[in-house]
Amino acid sequence: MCDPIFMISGGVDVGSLTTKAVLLKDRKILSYSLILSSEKSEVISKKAIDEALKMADLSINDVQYIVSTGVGRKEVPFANESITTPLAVPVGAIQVFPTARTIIDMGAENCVVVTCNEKGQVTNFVMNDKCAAGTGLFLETMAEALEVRLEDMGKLSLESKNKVNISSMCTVFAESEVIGYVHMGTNKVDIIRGLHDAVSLRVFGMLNKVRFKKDVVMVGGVAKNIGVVNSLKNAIGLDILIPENPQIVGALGAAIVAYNSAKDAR
Amino acid sequence: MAEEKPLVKRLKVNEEVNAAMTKYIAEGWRAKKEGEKICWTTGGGAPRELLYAMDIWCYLPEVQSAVTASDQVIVQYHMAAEKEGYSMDGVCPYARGNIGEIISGRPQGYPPGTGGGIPTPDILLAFKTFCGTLIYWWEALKRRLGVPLFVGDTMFYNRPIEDRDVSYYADSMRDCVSFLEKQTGKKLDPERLKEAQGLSGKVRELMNKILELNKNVPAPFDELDFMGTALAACWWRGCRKRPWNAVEFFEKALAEVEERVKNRIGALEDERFRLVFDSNPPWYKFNWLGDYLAQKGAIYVTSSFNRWWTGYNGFDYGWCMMGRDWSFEDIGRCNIPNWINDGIEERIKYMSRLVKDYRVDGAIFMDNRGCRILSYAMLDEAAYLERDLGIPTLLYEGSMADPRHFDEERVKVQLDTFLEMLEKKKKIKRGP
Repeated sequence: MCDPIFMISGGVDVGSLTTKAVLLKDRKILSYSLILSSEKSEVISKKAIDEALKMADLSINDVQYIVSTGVGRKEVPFANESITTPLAVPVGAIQVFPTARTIIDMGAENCVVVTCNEKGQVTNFVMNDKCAAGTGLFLETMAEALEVRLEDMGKLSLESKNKVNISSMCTVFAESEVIGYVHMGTNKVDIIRGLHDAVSLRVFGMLNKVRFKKDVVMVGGVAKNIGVVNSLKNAIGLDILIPENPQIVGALGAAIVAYNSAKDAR
Repeated sequence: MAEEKPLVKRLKVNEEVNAAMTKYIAEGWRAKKEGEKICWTTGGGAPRELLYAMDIWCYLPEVQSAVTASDQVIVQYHMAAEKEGYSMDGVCPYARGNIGEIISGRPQGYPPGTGGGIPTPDILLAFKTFCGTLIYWWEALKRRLGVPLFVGDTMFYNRPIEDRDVSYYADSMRDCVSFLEKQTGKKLDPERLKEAQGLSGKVRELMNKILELNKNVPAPFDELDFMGTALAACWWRGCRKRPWNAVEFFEKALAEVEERVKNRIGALEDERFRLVFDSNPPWYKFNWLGDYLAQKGAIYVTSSFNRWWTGYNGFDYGWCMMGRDWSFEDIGRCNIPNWINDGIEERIKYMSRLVKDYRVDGAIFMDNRGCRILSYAMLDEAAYLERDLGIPTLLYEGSMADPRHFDEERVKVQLDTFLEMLEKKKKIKRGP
């Protein structure tokens, strides 16, 4: 059991590929979980929070306030409140990097670029359209076409000496282009570098739309791909900060919003 | 769910317009059987007054597609058109809806009580604008339906309108009159045209008065909701037959809105965010959109869209309302200027004025995959509003008449985030 003088709050981020839960003791992370979104949101969100609770040796009754976010945010029955991803992510990013003013969140199906103030409040944002281009799904499809593991793409691209140009950002057409390069005998590492550059160019457009500013932070699953991060750094001419656990930043932001709400309610 | 509850106080006159529309379609079918002429014409720039002056029944396939979209039946027509090669990505959803409706074989009992869609035309009249699809669309109709087509030109200008533009349009009008006289076997009575133009000017005057009243806080009506009535201006501008005399609808609408202003009744009970939008609305989500925003205290108080039917000419509305001789040149001066023919600079100026005059908190743009002409200036408009006026903007993706291009969940996320952003901005302005 937790000491009641402390505030325990929780954030759950139900993403299209993974679900994340973060528990805070005051504003410090107590535990977190990350599991595949393989079931209905209401089931998987429960599993995620249960796992985080177990790690912290707590029960759900110890948590004063829970905020959900992500695509399945409305289907989290135990959440007190839900907020959108562009609202949660900067709050989490500011917690990790207080100097963050632009956050790029590249998840499985969504890509969001947000600018924020020092409190993590959104000042501008842009989301990708329905197209998969510029998301983890795009890279996953390309990894399949190239017969490489998704998690190896980043490192492989660093070996590239002669990058190729991928002109199409439509997943379907880009796949044809990739297969064309494979048939021409182009080195896979060069194709992967080209793909990363194509993704980063698209995100660069989004960054310009919100008039990005320092410090730039990247979160979400794609932030683990060093190839995309490097391409983006080159495109914007700035360093990009990556949290240790980039995938849980949305859930962390939700947990901080939960903490603030619970504090206000006291 | 709370989201489904209608929260916008809607204008009563809209119901009358809808009923009149159903009647106009049914009566058109009857008139056709009795030998009267039916014309399908284009929305922007076409001299509809001329048709009414010559007792020709006037129908607008673009509006019909907006109606089938809002009634959630358009996708079946889109699919019928797509099967014949009209691409989902490349062809206007209004065109696909209309052509698909023909391919599907009308009537199909839609809309109820009308014996089918809009009556099959005897005459086709297209006045080209910056929209390149119109001509191909009307040519496709000509081939499919085997009826004569006249093509006029309401040219793209992107500069102050000059005498040569007006005289070019007037020449088109003269040719059009000859064409219509040949098709109907009747001579145009210039007095009837003058009368129709007078009615049209009156509609524009009334519509402007109504739109101006939304500068009040709280806004007396939702700009989206007003589009139901605006349809009458678009369709029956210049028609003297009752119940389709658009002047009467607008007089009623004005009285209703004035009453609300007098009693300080807003379209929302609690108006918190005043918004402007650009582009056609997503017709299939028409009521949903208004109510979703209303639930969060947000309302569209103005738009570029409703200005289309006001004799839009920058901010000089007066021209088209005043008593004139209504020469073909005068008609040209009224019909050439419209939003679709405006360049980027004009659109930016116009949106900026709307933001200032209507005390707008935020601007929402729908990147319209159904109409690139409407969308091409949006990024520049948004950049200007943000940078020079400090107005937050949101650009989401959709289509005016193809629901397959609209991702409701994604739009909700964007609207929610945007309104939260506006809320925070207001708090900062107010101070702790």
